[in-house]
Amino acid sequence: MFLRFLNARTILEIIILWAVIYRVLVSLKGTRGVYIIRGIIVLIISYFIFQKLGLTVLIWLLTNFFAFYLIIIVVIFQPELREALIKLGQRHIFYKGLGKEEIEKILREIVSAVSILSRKKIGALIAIKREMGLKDYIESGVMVNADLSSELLQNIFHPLAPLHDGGVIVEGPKIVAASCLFPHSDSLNLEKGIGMRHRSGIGLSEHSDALVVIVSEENGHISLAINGQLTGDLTSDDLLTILKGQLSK
Amino acid sequence: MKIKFLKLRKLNIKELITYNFWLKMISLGIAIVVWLYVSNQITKGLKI
Repeated sequence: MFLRFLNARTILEIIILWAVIYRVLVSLKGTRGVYIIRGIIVLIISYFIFQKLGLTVLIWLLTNFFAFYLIIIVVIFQPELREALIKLGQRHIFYKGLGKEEIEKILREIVSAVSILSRKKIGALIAIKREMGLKDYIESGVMVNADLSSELLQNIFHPLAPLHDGGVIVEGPKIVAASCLFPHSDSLNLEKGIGMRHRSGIGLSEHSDALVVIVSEENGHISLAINGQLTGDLTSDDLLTILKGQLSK
Repeated sequence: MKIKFLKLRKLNIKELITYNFWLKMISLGIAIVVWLYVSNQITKGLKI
């Protein structure tokens, strides 16, 4: 049936629709906006089920509620919708990955800062964003939006600096935000003596696909949390190798 | 006046396809369903 309609104009229409839907989904990924999509899908599925069963009263209620639901969405999620529309104008609609050289440069800066902080026994919590958005956590901190550098990271985590509490979020070659609050891990399998910084790092890695580097202020040990798993007591070379492996996947 | 030239980054086809692969597939599916639904509605309207 679909092939009957297939011509150049149809393909063009579908590609444009695809690009728009993809950009909207990418900007909603990892935010509260995902719940809107889930809500809409539930309403649409219910609508079709009610239509098949001929439940006219429920269809009427659902249709009227849907219009109301759309208005609520526009009001509550106005900032997310605005951002999604802005992103539609960006270059590379289907592409936002980093090149190998860029990844290496970013990692060198992070690992250099981490090894210096570790030597000085200064606590640090650095989240490296991968595919999932971290908007909710970025909003909990202070926006920095600065080019990533080892010196800047050391400065942020200096115990006398106002932004040293909380975590830093790195997105591509930028430090997006500092002093961010990460969710604490509720896992019962963690050692009892594990500190709050490590719990936050593990918590964020459970809630997202971010790579979280943690430096302990007690002993300067470097740890890395990936998917809720903590790997501790790493050397800077180990850290660089693991991070490279994870980011070039 | 300085003239800025756009730096064209080498396009990696493999990465272009594999980056966010499942999200791309899901959005393609949604795009096709939306297109079919809307075109069906338009044809219905034209018949009336």
